[in-house]
Amino acid sequence: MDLKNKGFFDEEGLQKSNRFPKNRGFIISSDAFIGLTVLAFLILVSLSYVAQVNIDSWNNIDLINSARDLSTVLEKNLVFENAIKQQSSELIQQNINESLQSICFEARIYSSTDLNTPILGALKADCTKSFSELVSVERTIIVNDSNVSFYVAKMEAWYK
Amino acid sequence: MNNKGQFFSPDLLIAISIFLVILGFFFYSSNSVFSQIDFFEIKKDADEVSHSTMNILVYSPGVPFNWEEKSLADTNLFGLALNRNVISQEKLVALITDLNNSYSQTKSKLGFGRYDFKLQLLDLNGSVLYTSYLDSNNTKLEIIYERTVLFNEQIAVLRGVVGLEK
Repeated sequence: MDLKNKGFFDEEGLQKSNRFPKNRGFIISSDAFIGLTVLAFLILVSLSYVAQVNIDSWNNIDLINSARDLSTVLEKNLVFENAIKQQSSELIQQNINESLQSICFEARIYSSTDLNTPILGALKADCTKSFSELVSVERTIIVNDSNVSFYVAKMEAWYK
Repeated sequence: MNNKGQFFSPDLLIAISIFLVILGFFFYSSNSVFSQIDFFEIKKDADEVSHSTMNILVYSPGVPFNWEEKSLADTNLFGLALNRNVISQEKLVALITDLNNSYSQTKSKLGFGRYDFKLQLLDLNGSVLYTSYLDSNNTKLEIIYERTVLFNEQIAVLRGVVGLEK
């Protein structure tokens, strides 16, 4: 049987159904699409884990050290004691304002008999109480005036 | 023989191209991630050494307590404190002199074997009162550690600058 003459082959002898196959493969087949989707998902998940690595893991310790340092220095420089004697927060405010630039501080002084209501307080200028991480340290202040009194200085610190 | 299978069909070329692009992306991103992990490790180590050393400098008088009167070889541990957070001028000057004159030896005794270290004392206006010399041309990153201290009855800032070398 002459198939060429019956239309099954063209002039070059190619079978017509092979030359223009109707079920030809797609560039992105369904399988490849699913595979790529799973791959992209895995990449995103792994990248999200990498992004969670915190390079500033010492931030909290830095904050605690800074708050401890400032409260120690203010105590040893008699700032807390003089502020209590003068019943004025101005001295504390002045010193806190000149502290490390990147950190906000708030100092409050309580009488040892009432730890709920501060008798003095100072918040560093240009700071608001907005933070993701806050540390708090306390020191006991002894004021020797006519009689010995005990106070507690509470210093809070957070990053600007 | 015209309909014989080809070694490189258009589909195969496209598939190989996509595969190579994905492979290239993986190599690029993995190199970036590895270099970031290396940097994290170095910074973590520098952080540990720096925090430990700065704590000792600010809290301890050193070992022996009068190390500033002794030679560098007789100094076991540097410390600058007369008492907690109160810095001795004599100890500070002695340490800065040691850093300027015998940098490598002093740096090693401080614990900064792999890293560069510069010590400064600043007043609250940011003016440098004392500083050691450090050639920062070879450092690619400087990490600053600041501690609030009392110096000559004035509040000051003790700054340690740790340099990660290129």
